[in-house]
Formats: sequence, structure tokens, C-alpha cells
Amino acid sequence: MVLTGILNTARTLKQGTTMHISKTSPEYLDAINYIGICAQDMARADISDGDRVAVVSASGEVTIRAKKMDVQEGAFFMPVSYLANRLVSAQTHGTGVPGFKTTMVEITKV
Amino acid sequence: MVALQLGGAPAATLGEVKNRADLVIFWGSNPADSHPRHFTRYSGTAKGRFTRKGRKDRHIVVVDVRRTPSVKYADEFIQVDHGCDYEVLTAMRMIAGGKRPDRDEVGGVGVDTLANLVDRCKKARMGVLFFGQGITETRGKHQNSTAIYQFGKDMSRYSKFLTMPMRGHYNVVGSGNTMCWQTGYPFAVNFGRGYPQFNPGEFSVVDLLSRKEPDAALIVAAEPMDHLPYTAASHLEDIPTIVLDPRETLTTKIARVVIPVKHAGVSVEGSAYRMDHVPIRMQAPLKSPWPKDDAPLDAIIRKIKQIRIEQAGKTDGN
Repeated sequence: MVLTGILNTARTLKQGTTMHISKTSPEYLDAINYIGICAQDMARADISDGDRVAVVSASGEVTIRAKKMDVQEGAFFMPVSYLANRLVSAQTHGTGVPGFKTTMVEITKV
Repeated sequence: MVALQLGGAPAATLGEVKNRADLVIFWGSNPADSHPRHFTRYSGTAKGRFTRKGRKDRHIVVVDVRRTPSVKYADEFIQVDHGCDYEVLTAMRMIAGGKRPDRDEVGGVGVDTLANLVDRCKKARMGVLFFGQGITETRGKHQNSTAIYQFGKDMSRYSKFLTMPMRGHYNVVGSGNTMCWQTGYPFAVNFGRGYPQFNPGEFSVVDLLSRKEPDAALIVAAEPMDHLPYTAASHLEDIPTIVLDPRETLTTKIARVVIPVKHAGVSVEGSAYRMDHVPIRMQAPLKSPWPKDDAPLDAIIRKIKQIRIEQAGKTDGN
């Protein structure tokens, strides 16, 4: 089953500390390489914590790790990074602010 | 910034927050992750002149679409449906004005919960509403911030009430301030016609890159290859991109020219603006072999001026 919902990208503490090691470090990659999904959505799409999932938006696609998180149904979380920004819409609707928290994505288990 | 122009900003320094605030609301902001020292220095456990008991003297509310790590430090968590912040804020202004919405719930939040929050804001000795990118980047964008500023102004009729954005990224406030006193505009400023023009959506960086308009880019201490949507940032791979940065970044990797410079506040002194617009003098505890970051810019400007003078001379000669 395909999960559809809004992608919410934001900072995390681990991402903030590991980026100062290096943006190319395995620690930084580990801190950004996941998408948070709520337990109900995970059960509906037969996804388990740690499964690889393909996340697709109108802008791009990434394959990352699914992580169980306390988010709303139909809403997914990713740390702000070059991975999340493969998906984020560059459309700003005249505001200068792209769709960091408004981009629609589809998630399927790989 | 746009919201500030539309709504005004009842604000103060963080010192006032530390000394006086007995109600602290974080809306669309997760300081436990994004501003880990804010809570202990100013808004949570910090002890001030009129907040001698620190955390016990403050009521802390987190309003967010998800249960963030900040929630465990709060007295109250209010969960808003995605993209419904504007509706919730409008309902709160309505309640503050003595009216009640004709439904039990707005944006996933019970009207009674909102009424309690408004009541708490009205009775606060000093209330402060900090808002983050959960407000400015979600549906409604700057209109959400405008609604927050207007709510803050409404509350100022009843109590001392502040509304302050949780600015991040080191000296981003300094950039906005400097642009303001240099040009009159905070961001998205175009100098192409010889005088500053301001128009978000037209001259903002994501829009310019999306339309593939720039034919060269000079990037100073910023990381667009990590922080901007790739469909926009990828244009930087196709044009001559010059980066001034003390460290290797994802943007230096795609740049044609990288000029390493001293690290502001680490290996070069100067001033940086705190999120409450207070300029802080920075010292330079470490030494670095690289030039100050304004040195290459000065050299480039001098060279351009020299070329222009030479070109003007040739034209006169003809």
C-alpha cells in the first residue's frame, strides 16, 4: 500500500551536532537518513521500524529508513538536509519560502 | 520579515524574558532540538530578577503539529492539525475579543483549550510567544506570523505580551538588520538596476535559482546545496559558483572557486546579532592562516572598479 501525506522537515539536535563533524560524515548521514511515520500509518502500509522505503514527491525521490515517530497520521517527518531537499518543492508562491513543510509525498516499502 | 512589516512586532530583549516572563509559549518551535541553550539561559530554568524560582515561576506551553522533544519540558502541549495554525490563531483572537467560534474544535484543538490559553495570556504578568519555522514554513507562511504578531498586539491590551521569532543559523538576524539599514529591505533585494528593489518571490534566492536566472553566484558562509530544495540549488552546479567558507561543505564541493576564510567568532573578531537583535561582540580565540571574510570581497570590488575605470578610459579614447 502507498502512504500519501505531507512532509514536514525540521532540525534535530543530532543533525545539528553531527553536521559540525562534517556534512559528508557517516554520523551526519545517519542523523538525516530516515523518515518518521506514525505507528498507525506504518501498520496500514505493512512497514516496520527500520525498513527501507521509497519516498517520492513531484520534485524527486529518495530511498531511506522508516522510523516510528509520534507524528500525526498522513504527516511524515524528515530532518532538514540534502536528502529531504530532494523531495521539497521549490515553489514559493511568491513568498520566497519553499515547501519545507507543505510538500506532498508518497511512501512505499522497498 | 514580511509579517513584521504587516503586523508590527511587540518585542523585547531576551534579558527581559529571563527577568520577567511568567508565561512562555513556543509555537511551531522546538528549542530542545533547534535552540538547546535557549531554555536554560532565557525561557525555561533561567532565574531572573522577578523569576527568582526559575522554572517554577514560569508556565510553559508548546503548540505544535507533532510531539517534539520540547514537550517534555513544558507544562502544557497543544497539538494543532497540519497547516491549521492560522485558523487556530484567528479563533484565539476571536475569543480574546469576547466572541466564541460556532464549533467545538478549530484546527484539531478544542475551543475550551484555546479559551484557557487566551485567559492565561490575558492574566500573565509578562507573556511571550516564541514562534519558529513551524509557523513560517507551513501553509499560510508569513500570514501565520502576521496573525501571531496581531494576537500579541491584542494581548498587550491586557498584559505585557511579546511575540518573538526563534531565529536561527548563527548571524541570520545580523544579515537582515544590515540589509535593512543599508537598503531599507530585509532580504530578496535586487541591486541589478543600480538601486535596491525588494520583491519576495521574484528576487528571493529559491525563486531566482528555480527560474535559472543567475549566470554566476557568489555564496558567503551559506550552504544552499544542503538547505535549499535540490530542484533550485542544482542550478548552482551549472553556473560559475564562488564560495567563501572556512570549511568544506556540500556547496564548496560543487563550486568552481572556493576561497577559504577565517571563521567569524572563532578566528576573527567582529559582531553577530542575537535572535533578539542585540549585537554581540565576538572574540577570536583561535588563529587561522586564512584571510578575513571581507578581504576577498574588498579585493573583488577593487578589481571590478579598476576594470570599469579602464573600460571607461578606452571608451573616452575612442
